Amino acid sequence: MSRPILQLDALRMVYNADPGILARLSGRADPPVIAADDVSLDLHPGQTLAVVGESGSGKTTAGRIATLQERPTAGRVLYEGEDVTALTGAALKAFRAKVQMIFQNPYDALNPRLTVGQSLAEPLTLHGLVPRAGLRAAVIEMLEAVELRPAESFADAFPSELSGGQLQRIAIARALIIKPRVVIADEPVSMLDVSIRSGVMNLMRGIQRDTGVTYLYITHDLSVARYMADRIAVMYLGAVLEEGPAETLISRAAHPYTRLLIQAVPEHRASATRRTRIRLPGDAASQAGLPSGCRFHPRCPLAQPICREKAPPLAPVGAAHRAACHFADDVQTHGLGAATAATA
Amino acid sequence: MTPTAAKTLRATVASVPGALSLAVFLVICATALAAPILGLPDPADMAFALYQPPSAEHWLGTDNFGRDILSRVVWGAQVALTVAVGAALLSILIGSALGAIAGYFGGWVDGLLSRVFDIFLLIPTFFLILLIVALFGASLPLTIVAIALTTWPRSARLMRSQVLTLKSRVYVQAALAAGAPHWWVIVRHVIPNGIAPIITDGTILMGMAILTEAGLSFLGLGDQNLVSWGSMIFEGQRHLRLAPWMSIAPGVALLLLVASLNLLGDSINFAMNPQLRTRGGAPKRRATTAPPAGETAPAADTPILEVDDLRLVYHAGARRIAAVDGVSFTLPRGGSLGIVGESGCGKSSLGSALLQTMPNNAELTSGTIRFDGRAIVLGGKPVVENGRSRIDALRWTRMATIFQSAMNALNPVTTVRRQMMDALRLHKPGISREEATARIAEVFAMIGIPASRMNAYPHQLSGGMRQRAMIALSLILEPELVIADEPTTALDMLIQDQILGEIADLRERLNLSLILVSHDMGAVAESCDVVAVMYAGRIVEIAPTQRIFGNPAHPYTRTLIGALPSLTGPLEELESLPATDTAAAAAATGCRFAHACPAATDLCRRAAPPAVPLGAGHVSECHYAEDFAAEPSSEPHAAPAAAKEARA
Repeated sequence: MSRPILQLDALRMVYNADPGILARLSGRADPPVIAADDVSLDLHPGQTLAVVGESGSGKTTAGRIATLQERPTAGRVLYEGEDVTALTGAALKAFRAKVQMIFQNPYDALNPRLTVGQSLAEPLTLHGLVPRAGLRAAVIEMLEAVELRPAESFADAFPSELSGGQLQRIAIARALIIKPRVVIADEPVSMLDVSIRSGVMNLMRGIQRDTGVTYLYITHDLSVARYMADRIAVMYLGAVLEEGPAETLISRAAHPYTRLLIQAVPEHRASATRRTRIRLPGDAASQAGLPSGCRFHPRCPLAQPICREKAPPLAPVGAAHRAACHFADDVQTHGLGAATAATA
Repeated sequence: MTPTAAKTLRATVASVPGALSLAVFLVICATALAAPILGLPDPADMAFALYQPPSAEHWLGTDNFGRDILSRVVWGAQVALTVAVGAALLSILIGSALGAIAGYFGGWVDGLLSRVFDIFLLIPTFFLILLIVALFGASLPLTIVAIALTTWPRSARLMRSQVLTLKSRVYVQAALAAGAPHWWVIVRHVIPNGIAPIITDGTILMGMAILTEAGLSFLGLGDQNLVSWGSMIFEGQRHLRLAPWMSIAPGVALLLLVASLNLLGDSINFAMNPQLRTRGGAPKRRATTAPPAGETAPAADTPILEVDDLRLVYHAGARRIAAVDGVSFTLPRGGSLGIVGESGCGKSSLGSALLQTMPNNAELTSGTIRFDGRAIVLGGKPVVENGRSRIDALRWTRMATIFQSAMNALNPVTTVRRQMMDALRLHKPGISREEATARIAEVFAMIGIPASRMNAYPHQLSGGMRQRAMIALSLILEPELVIADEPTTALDMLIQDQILGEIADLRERLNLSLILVSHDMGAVAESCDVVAVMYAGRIVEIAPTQRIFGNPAHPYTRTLIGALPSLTGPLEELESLPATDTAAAAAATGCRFAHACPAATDLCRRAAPPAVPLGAGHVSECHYAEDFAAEPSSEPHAAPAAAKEARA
């Protein structure tokens, strides 16, 4: 496998770690929140890694650290093998030109007082990549690339005149206009209508084919992850529970949580078969006050006594496929049916 | 001028108070500026007879020194406006700069600056000015500085709170991620978007500044060489019996200017803040109608809901937008209907029309809704019986709704249990406390909320629990029909699946009838027997769930299905659609979908398609419905891995 272009190495991110002496004395200190706990992810050039998880899984935190919008409490971010975790000033700006971000909410992504053209020209001006006279041409070219035609009229439009799908295309254009090598996309389609989503996803795939850009694609939807990604990492409460090639991870999922996520995808096309659902005990997952042992055991239908005591390591379960479950082999062969097998 | 500013100006002028106050303000400004060329006598010239009442020569009379009062009022306006503009500008400049810095950087910077704001707010304007006058003597610039020094924290606090929300806006984050330095972000993205309410507040600040200056001059602390309305009023009050006009004229001028500024501030605020412009203004009295004659008692097989040719129109200014444009369907008792479509297709409008909870600018122009055989809407008008509209009697008790956003739909200051108790006692006055408690516990158990969470406040519950509480609240009165509008959209996948499971379970156990509105075909697939696909205000296809997925007979339905990524099927390029301009699509002469349809022909662009019945309750509004229905959905029907697994 090629050398990774961007690596997250044993990241740890704790919010509220130090609540301050006053809050501690008055006993009102919020408990520390562990948003990332020993998270390691590798992005390979020209490929897409999807990070899948629920809200509170730390997937967004991982993305924010990868773009250095936040600095980790511990661990390193490596760009082409070089430690960039503590970059500042001009070096940070140069890093930002290489690693860009697409955000979730397209309706809020553009300054309402600037035209689309002005917003798109901003990154070019900031990095001094294109002389002032060439800005307009560069903007028009980029608008054509994200299939917004006629590009001239889109360049002069204000964000309030555009639909969500068009806005997200412009947000993508803004991230790509300075030709970054890595783009972190945080749920770029989850706020769009289903019928519009596929257009944006196809656009992102097309751009990757043409330019070889690398994506870190953050999503809560496994089927979207499968469509977009070469590899998938499943996160839960700040940790990676399973990671592997997209197809293998879905067909041979080795973690009960991944299996539950797979079941939760409404596979309507399959003639709407009624599925038997496993009723999960409780649904509140909170990073404050992590459970002992395996972090998933309170909701796991397969939980055994050992899961309460010992945290399972992220161990290999196949080619380039790792999972953090004491019963990974059972789950991989029997699925959640192992629940009955194990307890019977 | 930016489009927002132009729009704000137009909206301000469009309202009567806005236009009036702006006109008064502009007239005063123009007069003050034109003072030297109006040919008025010198305001300081004591050339005329003393104490003359208003006359043709001296429109406002003369004062105790024989000076022309009109001239003094006009020159006084210059002083008032100088103070107003000077103080407000200075105050906004200092305030918004420091406020923006405090809000943007937060932390200790914010802590320190906020304390500074507080300290300056504590300084009484008058005492500061007294001090300044005592130290440096009275002068207009010093007065302006003193007023600005005591008012800038107002702007600073406003700007700080604006920036606190602005800095988490995506475009600010995006600019930072693009490598923009902080000063760039503040100047280009934060201040332009946060300045609007501060400008509004500026007009009120101007009024305050004028009053302060007048008060100072009244006390004799103003610049004695300038003509000030305050000193005029002071002079006048000593001669009130002899020459009341001396104080009336500057008093009225002061009142007019300050009132117009305050009114202008209010109007601009109203024009800029869409939340104040409620949708369509005050509720209109809607025309009602009497129940139709000869209604038969409902039989066992009477459908729970019948909708016929429903049309709903929104009034937006002079425009009329048809959101629901002739929708008809029948829901049998115990049945379930999924209504699917993209945003703007009218699915939520349809849901609100069924419950008659439309916004004020919506109007039903035609259509009949029957609940359990009895008409609740007839010819677009709500049916009123014995002085009470029928829907009011049905809502919640027999026809309940589950909203999308549980956080907004639950009252944040009372516990969930308490809200259910209130609902029970309101609708069933005879119920005892014990019975009510038992019923609440029963519903909570049914929906999977642990008893320990019964006394929780909404914000203490997780998103999934909150949505469960919302469902519990809608079920507490044992309704027969539940209308759920995107009940799981904001939730995580696992929770979404669980909630949909709960809804499907409850429906079977309680024999509920269900209408589930969603933009996601996947969400309705398992919960509903019948799926209706809406496009641009019409149901373009309706069919039993298996048929609509197996043999979709409308190209729009096909695209909707083809747009969803699959987890188990083969990986293939997804289909995609451009966003629909609903108004334009509805106005098309032919088929509404023709502009985006991959299979559109000349016929489609010319003639609106008929509703083609395809048997077994399958209807499609497409000229080529039969051809589409004949070829099964392009997807092979592999049973999902999950389903296989469950069977194994």
